[in-house]
Amino acid sequence: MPHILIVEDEPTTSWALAEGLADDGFTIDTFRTAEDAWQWLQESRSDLVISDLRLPGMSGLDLARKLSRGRHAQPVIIVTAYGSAETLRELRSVGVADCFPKPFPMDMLRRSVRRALEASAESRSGRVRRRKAA
Amino acid sequence: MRAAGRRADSARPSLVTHHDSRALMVRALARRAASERVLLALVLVERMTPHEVACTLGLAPRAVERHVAILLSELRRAVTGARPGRAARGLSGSSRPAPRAGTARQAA
Repeated sequence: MPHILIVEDEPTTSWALAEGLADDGFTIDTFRTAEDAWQWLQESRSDLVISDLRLPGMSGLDLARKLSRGRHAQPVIIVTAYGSAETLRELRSVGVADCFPKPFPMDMLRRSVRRALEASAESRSGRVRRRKAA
Repeated sequence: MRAAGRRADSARPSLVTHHDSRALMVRALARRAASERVLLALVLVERMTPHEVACTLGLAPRAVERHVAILLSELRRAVTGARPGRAARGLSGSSRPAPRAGTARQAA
């Protein structure tokens, strides 16, 4: 069962996202700050992160940068009420899988989560195949 | 910390864990006596001085200060998981009862 981290400082949004995605069978942990989520990741693992862009302290963009490589590398989906064209470009440049301006239909997010998880699994299995072939 | 259940009428186990200090605080406050929540509300929400709270609840100002310190210490511990401080240890050894909500009406 894939695990999703939700980083959102607005409790109602966080709750709504978690409830919507838990119906699809994902296990979910929610955090109010990127720092707390990052700390949790040092001892646990998740398969995908959904983060607000504007957070107290570390931003969603900073978190996406940290999650773009290394042992915690995983797809990141950003939700934001402040998505300028420049921000979206910056998010793409750090490898954010998708970006949703609030409000957005939950089904769109569900589809995006599934796509990102499939792409991530495919890329992982490709790496394993290449390693075996080498 | 697993949430008890996503829906009250659902028998399914919860798949969601909220790591939220406010949620921890709500649960910690819910475990306190009503009179203790009144005391905290008067101090932290109504911004009453210890003397004003003491007059309202019919307590000594020193008792108000002591109870508030103990309560804050215990709530901090509930949220952060920190070890009890001196004030909190004092509560367990205290023979004085916590203020009762009824005393507010008596004083008023």
